[in-house]
Amino acid sequence: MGVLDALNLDGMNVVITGGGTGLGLEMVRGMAEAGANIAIAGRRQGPIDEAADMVKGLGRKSMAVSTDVTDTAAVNALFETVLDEWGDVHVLFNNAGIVRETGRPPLWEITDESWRIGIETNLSSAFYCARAISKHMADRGSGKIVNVASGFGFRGGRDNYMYTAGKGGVVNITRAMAVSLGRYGITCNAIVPGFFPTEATNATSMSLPRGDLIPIGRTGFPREFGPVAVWLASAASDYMTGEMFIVDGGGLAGGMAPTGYGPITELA
Amino acid sequence: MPVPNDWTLEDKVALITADTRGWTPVLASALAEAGADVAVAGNSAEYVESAAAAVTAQGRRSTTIIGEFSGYAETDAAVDKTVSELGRIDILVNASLTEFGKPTLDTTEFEWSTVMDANAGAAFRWARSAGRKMTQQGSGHIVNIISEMAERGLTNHAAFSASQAAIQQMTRSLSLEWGTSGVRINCIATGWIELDPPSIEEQQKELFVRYLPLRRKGTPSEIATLMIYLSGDFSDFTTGQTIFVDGGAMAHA
Repeated sequence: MGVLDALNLDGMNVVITGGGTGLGLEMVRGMAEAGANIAIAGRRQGPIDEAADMVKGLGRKSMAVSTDVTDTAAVNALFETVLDEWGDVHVLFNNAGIVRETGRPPLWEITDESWRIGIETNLSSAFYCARAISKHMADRGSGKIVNVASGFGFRGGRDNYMYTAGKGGVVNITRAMAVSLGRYGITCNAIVPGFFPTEATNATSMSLPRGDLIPIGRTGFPREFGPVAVWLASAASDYMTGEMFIVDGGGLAGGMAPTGYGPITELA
Repeated sequence: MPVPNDWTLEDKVALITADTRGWTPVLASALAEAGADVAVAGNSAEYVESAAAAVTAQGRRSTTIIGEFSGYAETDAAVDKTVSELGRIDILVNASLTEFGKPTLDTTEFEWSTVMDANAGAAFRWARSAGRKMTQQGSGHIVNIISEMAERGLTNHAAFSASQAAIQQMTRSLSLEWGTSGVRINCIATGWIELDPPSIEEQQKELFVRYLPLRRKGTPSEIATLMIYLSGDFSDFTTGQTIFVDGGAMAHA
């Protein structure tokens, strides 16, 4: 047995929200390759069915469960379905979120409904899912909850309120869950992605910074999320909880000035 | 038993530093298990050689470099020896750390400058020496293993925590400076990790352990896979980060 064997996910049952597309899909692929069975929840049936077929093609169990993660009854039903079918849930990935709704209005034009949907989708959904499955994990004495936050959870974004506030909430509910659930053998961490061109980010008019404004000079590849998901789902990360796993090409390390800006100052 | 395909350091050469805590043999063994050849540098022949033995036990090549590494000439020479003996350098793991705890009013100038140099100064020298080769070849991964006191204070640890924060900030700036040269640099910040902790019941007699969300100490092998991740090309979008592996200590109020 070497240290790499801890990455094996054979027999682990994972539930992931928003797992049919983008970063979620690549996390599904990575975890399935490592041996996990994966239940994929999402709003649209087509993409989650395709993702489930991909998982089955790798020889793992999978199911696609159409779920609106802002609907608590639907969330509860999702976990009942998975527990009925598989008996156990070991890992929850709260990946569903929306980058932005329509347009990018100034603060004074944001409607109650727009605020509510943004917070519900980006923050409340993670709470609803964790609430629904944490008792099961606590009763077993083990479990892993992985949230997906954002650099906007640490820094402000221009005309970007619901996503920024929601992801900031995800950052800190991750810490609260870690501190609270550790005694039941449950860890809770967050992945913090930088800029990855995906269907979701391309589908909106949100202006992604060009690669040359990211310290390493390029945006990320969704497949760069597979190994991170595997590590956080596996026993290899058992001593980490309440932490932010930041994968952003160096964005949060800097941010004070454009990439490459470096004035020279000699000692006086 | 699937180990995911990404997790390989095949054809890579690493240089790891060793102190006397005994973590380096565990970490060097993990690098070798993932496929790397590993040079080990440090001032204690005993610990350097046991780390090298752990590498060869995994069927990989190793070389040892004994020294104090108190100037660029020595760290440059160690990098050169790694390249001449093992063919190249792709990975630098700064695993050496000098611990120090003392009331500040009793801390001498010599102690302050020694702690700062042994931790921050050495990390800077190693990164500079390895970074020269890595920026030339357009690729490389540097992993600094530090204490979470980089971010959290502790009584009697003003000098030590400053030396750790210095490494964290150096890491952020270097990630920007070398980002477009293909070099990645990150920190793993550890909480209370021990080579061989006693039983959990025994550990929990300590107040600090009961305070930790996970209510136990960690082991060096629990940072080994993260070190492999940060050493491999499959983590190339991760740079400038400090990842805390600490049983939840940082999440606590």
